[in-house]
Amino acid sequence: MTDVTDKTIDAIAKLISLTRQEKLVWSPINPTRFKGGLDETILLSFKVKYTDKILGLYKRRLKTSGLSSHLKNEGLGLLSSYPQAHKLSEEYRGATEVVLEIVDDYENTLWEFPRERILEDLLSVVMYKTSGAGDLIERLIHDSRAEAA
Amino acid sequence: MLMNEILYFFAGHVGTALGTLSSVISLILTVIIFINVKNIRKYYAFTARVPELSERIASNSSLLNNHLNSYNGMTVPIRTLLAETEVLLVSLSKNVDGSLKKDASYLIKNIKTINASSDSFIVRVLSVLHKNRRIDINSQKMLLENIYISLCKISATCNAKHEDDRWER
Repeated sequence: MTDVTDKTIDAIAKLISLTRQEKLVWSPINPTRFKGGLDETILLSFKVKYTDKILGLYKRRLKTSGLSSHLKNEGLGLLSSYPQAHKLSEEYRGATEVVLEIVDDYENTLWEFPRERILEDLLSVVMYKTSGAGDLIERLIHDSRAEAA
Repeated sequence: MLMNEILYFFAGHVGTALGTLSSVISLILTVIIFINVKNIRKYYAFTARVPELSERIASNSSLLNNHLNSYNGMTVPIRTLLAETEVLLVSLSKNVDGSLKKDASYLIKNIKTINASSDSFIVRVLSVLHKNRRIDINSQKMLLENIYISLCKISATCNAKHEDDRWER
């Protein structure tokens, strides 16, 4: 494994651990307020301040046009007119990805973390903590035990 | 007559030398072919099996991450998940080599240790007697977190290696 991937995973795992211990408290933000280019739809977004940096975490769904711009960025713009590209774009439409960024006060991207699958786990922990799902489950179990007693 | 004997003598030696030389060459070729066939088999085994294993390992690591959200001891679902992950890692270690194999083997050992420690009757009795269940749970949680990180790394390494192989061939 490359050193960069190794460090990225360690860093994100640390964020997961801090979030789980509630040393990092993420706040949800209105997805439409956060950001979203023409090629993407923001489904969920959170931000948190860690030391002097603001971290933004969001889940986005890529739109169909995302494929053609992706191909253009890769220098394969002509391919977007091929039938196979349309088939690919169908697959692309449903694709979602989780992005972790360092943002400024106006939520502009300063730096984006490399895309790793562990980001989905971070989002899962953030959602669990932010929603208070753990407390709700504990309360429900406690109530049902109290009723049984 | 003498001429015939001389010719026979040299032809015999040259013949032997050529025979020896061709034996050595064929041995070298056999070794080269054997190594190449082994590499090709390993490549196809890797391409066919490893992406699926990597996906399942990543999926199990996500499940482990979910369990850690409300961790309160080694429950049956966690132990089942770890056992399943251990099997996947054993399978992975058979299809890879180098540092990836080493990492997978090390992780198998860790999973075995945590499963054995949580299973040990003596450990459980001692933790209850010494009222240090909380400490026990915390150390287990830390171990599980380390296992989780290692699983993420192994899965990411497999994916990176698979991508590299695609470009190398």
